Amino acid sequence: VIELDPLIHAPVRLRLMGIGRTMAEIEYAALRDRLEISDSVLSKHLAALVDAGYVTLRKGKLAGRSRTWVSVTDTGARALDDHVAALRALASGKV
Amino acid sequence: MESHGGGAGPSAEEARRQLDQLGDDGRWAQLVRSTPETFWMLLTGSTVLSLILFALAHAGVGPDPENEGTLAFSWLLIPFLGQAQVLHKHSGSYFGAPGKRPRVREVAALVTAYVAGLVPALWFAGRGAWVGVVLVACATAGVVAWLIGRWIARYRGERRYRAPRVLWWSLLLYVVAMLATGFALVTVLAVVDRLLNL
Repeated sequence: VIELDPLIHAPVRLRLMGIGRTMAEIEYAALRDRLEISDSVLSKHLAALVDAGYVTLRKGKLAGRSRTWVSVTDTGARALDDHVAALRALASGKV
Repeated sequence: MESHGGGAGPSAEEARRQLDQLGDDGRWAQLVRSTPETFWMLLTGSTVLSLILFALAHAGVGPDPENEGTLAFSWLLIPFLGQAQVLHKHSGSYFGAPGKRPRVREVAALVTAYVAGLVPALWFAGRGAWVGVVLVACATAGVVAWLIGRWIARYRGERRYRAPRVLWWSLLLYVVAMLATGFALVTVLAVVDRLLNL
């Protein structure tokens, strides 16, 4: 039985978690540009991940402008590991 | 969690595609993050290493003082040239991160700091004051780290990310490992030289 995390199942969320995990923090607009999605779509995905405790948001200033910084929590990192392991098993045809 | 024992869920092909995309994103994030951090660690570590090796060579201490001088030069230049190649690959410039090159005055300050550190390091070494040599090497590396840090901060600002705090122990590990490797290397060279001259 493979356990896929429904919260990370959407490709955009998987990518978001993967990028966020590599960086300690990444700014909202940088993430949006990399994922090539709109602000509203990113906000929606982030809200779901924040509710699950996978991601935290922090307000901060950069070059005098208010920005939102995104970081993946330890819980989120563990969930990502489990999800990726499940995907690997699927991809290798072990299921 | 939902279970997928062959029911609804991504196919093997879809899973592979998602993993490939995850790999691409990971490489991108790693490149953005690690290029300046690696440069910081290599150049700061090389400053400490080369100053100590130049001091040892100057004082005629160690397994092979002549080769230590050459090694110090290599230990300083090789990481710098290696990083320059990486930077050129990604930015078209041998002397700067994509978009944010060091300013001329920062480069000048870097060279000045190194020379200003080398002179007292050699002076201390000539008098056998090795604590002084190490302190000067560390202080010089601190100035170098700060100067490179300014450039990295601009790069991070442009790329809009923050990396985990710099791990000083990784820098220490790099310096110790390279010193040990260097001494092993010059010792082997000295032994081979003696054997050939028997």
